[in-house]
Amino acid sequence: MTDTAATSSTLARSGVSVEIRGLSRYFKDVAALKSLSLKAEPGELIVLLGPSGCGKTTALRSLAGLERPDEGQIFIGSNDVTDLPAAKRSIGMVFQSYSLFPNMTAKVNVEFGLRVMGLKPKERTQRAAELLELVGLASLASRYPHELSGGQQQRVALARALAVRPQLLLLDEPLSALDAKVRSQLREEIRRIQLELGITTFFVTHDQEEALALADRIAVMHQGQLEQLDTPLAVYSRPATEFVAEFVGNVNRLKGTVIDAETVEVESVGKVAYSSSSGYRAGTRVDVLIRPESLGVVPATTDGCTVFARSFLGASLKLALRDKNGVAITVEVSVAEAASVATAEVVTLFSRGAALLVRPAS
Amino acid sequence: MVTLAPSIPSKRSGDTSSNNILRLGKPFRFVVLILVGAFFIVPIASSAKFSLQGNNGAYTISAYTQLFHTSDFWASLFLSLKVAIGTVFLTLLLLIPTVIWVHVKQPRLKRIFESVSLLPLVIPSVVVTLGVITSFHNLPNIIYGTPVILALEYVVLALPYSYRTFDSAVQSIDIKTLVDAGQSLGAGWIKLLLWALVPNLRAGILGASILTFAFSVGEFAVASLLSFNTFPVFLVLIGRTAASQAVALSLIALVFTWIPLAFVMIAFSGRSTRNRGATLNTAEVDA
Amino acid sequence: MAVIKSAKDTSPGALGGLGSETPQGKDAAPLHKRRRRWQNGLGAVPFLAYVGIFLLIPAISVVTTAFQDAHGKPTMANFNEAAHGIYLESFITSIKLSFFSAVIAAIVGILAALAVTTTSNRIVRSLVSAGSGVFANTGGVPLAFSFVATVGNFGVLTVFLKSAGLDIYAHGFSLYSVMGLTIVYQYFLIPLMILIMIPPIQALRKEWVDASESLGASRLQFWRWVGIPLLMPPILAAFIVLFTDAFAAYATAEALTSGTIPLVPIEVGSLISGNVLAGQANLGDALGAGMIVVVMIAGLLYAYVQRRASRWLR
Repeated sequence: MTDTAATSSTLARSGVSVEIRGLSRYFKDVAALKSLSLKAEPGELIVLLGPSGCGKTTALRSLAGLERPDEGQIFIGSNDVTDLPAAKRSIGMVFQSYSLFPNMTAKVNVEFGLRVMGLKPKERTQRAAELLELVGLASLASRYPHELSGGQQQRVALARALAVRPQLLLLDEPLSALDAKVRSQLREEIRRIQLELGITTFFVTHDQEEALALADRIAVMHQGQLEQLDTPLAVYSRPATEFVAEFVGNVNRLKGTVIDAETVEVESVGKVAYSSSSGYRAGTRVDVLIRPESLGVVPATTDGCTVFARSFLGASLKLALRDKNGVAITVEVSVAEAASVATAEVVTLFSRGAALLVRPAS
Repeated sequence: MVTLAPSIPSKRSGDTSSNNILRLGKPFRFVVLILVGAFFIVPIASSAKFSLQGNNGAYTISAYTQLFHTSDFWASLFLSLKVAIGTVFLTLLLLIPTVIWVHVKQPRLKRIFESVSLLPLVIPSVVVTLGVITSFHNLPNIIYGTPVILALEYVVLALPYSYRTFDSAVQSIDIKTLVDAGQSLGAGWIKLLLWALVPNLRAGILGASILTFAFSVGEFAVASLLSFNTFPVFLVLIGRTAASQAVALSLIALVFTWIPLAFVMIAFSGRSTRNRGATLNTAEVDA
Repeated sequence: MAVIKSAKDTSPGALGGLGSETPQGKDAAPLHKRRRRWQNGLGAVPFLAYVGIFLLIPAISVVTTAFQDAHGKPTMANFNEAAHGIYLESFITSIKLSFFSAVIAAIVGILAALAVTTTSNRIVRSLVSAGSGVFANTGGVPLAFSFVATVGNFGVLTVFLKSAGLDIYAHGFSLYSVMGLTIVYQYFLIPLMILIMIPPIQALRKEWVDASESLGASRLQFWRWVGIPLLMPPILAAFIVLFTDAFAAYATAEALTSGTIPLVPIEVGSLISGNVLAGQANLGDALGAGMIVVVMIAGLLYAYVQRRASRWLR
């Protein structure tokens, strides 16, 4: 690892802050972005997360300068770059796939931006070697893109994007075309390199697991708007909106009645703690959103929930239940606990954590 | 290259077409397509006008009607049709078993057979004619001295078009599965061909037939040099004396070849774009 | 390959055994195996034999005859004759005509292909591609006459321009010349070029443009380092195809000029038709052999270009 550390010292640079202010973009009257504002601190990795069509890619492409916003401003550091074309923004971008120039070897691909800058061949070669070393592909420098695997291609694309020492790194679903194993490997590597370089980074994905694993902060987007911008932990455990609660992680939606400002009585579960600023009056009918792992089960003899499927996930066991009203409930319990309900047909639920959100009954 | 790549398109324009990755402006497209389109339409329109123009400037259809009273016209047309039908028949006889055999039995030879089918592009038809004269003049008259030789040669000369079309049709169906399924049901080769393969390859057979037919009806070099009075040969002859009749006839000939050709192009275009990637494929060369 | 083997086992007959179904065990005798292998090759015979007899034998006979005199004795006299005077001129004219026709068609074809691939109008796209397929197959005599009707001596366009004050024939234009032929040839060469260029242009990915832009490259730099290198192999290959097509064309030239312009195919044609001087018995074969050589050189260039491109093409 000393090797990498040495390399990183020559690569390292301090990141800049990046800010989006009131960004809007319309495609033929349909708003892809509605007044989006967010700010990344220097060296931060922000994941733009959301379902397809939520505007995350439009936001990223606007940052890159490949898309012109209809309203709003973009700052890189203290510079307003809103009207700068992509070529003048000092960004590095990695695309979904197939973005390597097919007529160039890996090395020449990495050198592309340096050639544009007018660097001498010798410097280019040295820099390209450095970068290929960084992404672990030094030995494949003379391969053409079609001779590389999907994961290797994306590493080269990353090296190419970083070669020009950009102030901002933009990644547009760079892992979505790869298979699961390569994906998680490369994900960790991207994070390692990003931390090493301390470069401010935006990463677009629709995969919540990827977002949770990578991000300093996650920006959850929905229909062109920002739903929540917070750390992965906060997004997962304190979702700001119903959409975030349901999009990030799994969630049960159960009926309940408010008891007081801290407790709610949930059907089939019993008393569950909650916190809300809405100040529900006692007796209000509400929907309670609660994570599968916030529920526990004990075997019951009668009058409980029926177990109709079990799936073993390795560290935990997922139970698919149906309560007496036929409402589907998912529970995730640790393997140790699973033993007690291994053969149970009927179980009783209890709460072991607070509710995520409480909403007026729909 | 500057004309190909205007620097930056008008900002925030409505043009968000994802196809337009090269960012060519609308004016560029408009001008190019109009000019090129005009180049292809003007001669046709001119032909129509020319053939309908009488000596005194009045419009007349006499160029068309006179033709039908010429016995040479009918004789040459029938000769061309006979040769074309014979060529199509021979082509199918040769092509269907061969292509199916290659795909089922020796898929490794696909490329080689494809290249062989392209050979006629390398040997100009004038040269082939010369070769036919030097090498076949000793053959019995029934072959060499009759239009049969035309059909025999046209089969070869039309191969680049017919082979390609039929080959891509076979490629597009899962012929191995069809053959395996047929055989597992106990069908012999002949039954297999007639009941399973030919019905599935109808479009390919039709396409190859149309292209071969169009080629044969329009071929001039071989027929003229071997002194057969086919339709195009007759056309040149009449062109020396009666221009408006020749133009009228040409127009009819063009339209009648374009209609079936257009049918082939439309029927096969969807298929060909699906299977092809970035490489230049000779298929496009001859399509 | 396993699939093929199993097919062989179930139907030993290949094409040679059409209809003769004889189920066989896996332990067939060696002799049987040999016969089977031989039969598996049998399907190739009719096709290859046909092409051999009706294409290769004539072509080879032209080449061999070119080296013989009227009595079958070996000689180089035919080639000597072919490389002088009118015949040399015909080669030069033919090559010039084909070269310039191909250059013009290539340029116009690329522009048109670019215009078509970048338009989002589906109707225009399918119209142009189907139209190109049709027109690329047009040629020969009818084409010649439709141009006579357009820009011939009394063509519609000629007359129209004359009435507008522009007498194109007085300004050195003639349809019945190399220039005229160059124009007429465009009618099938341009569509051919469009057909060939549409797939490689469509294969240019948006990601490449975006990537090069994000790396700071200008439009010009993108074209210099990515666009043109990627399009060059197909363009060159297409150019060679166009050249060959124009070089071999006979019907249009013959119908238009009645043999007044010295072009190799026309000269070969008139030698065949018997407009021969004594002592030139096999001169036509020498010219024919020359044509084959020219086309083969073009073919070798084509193969070379394709091979160079295959380094980065899948």
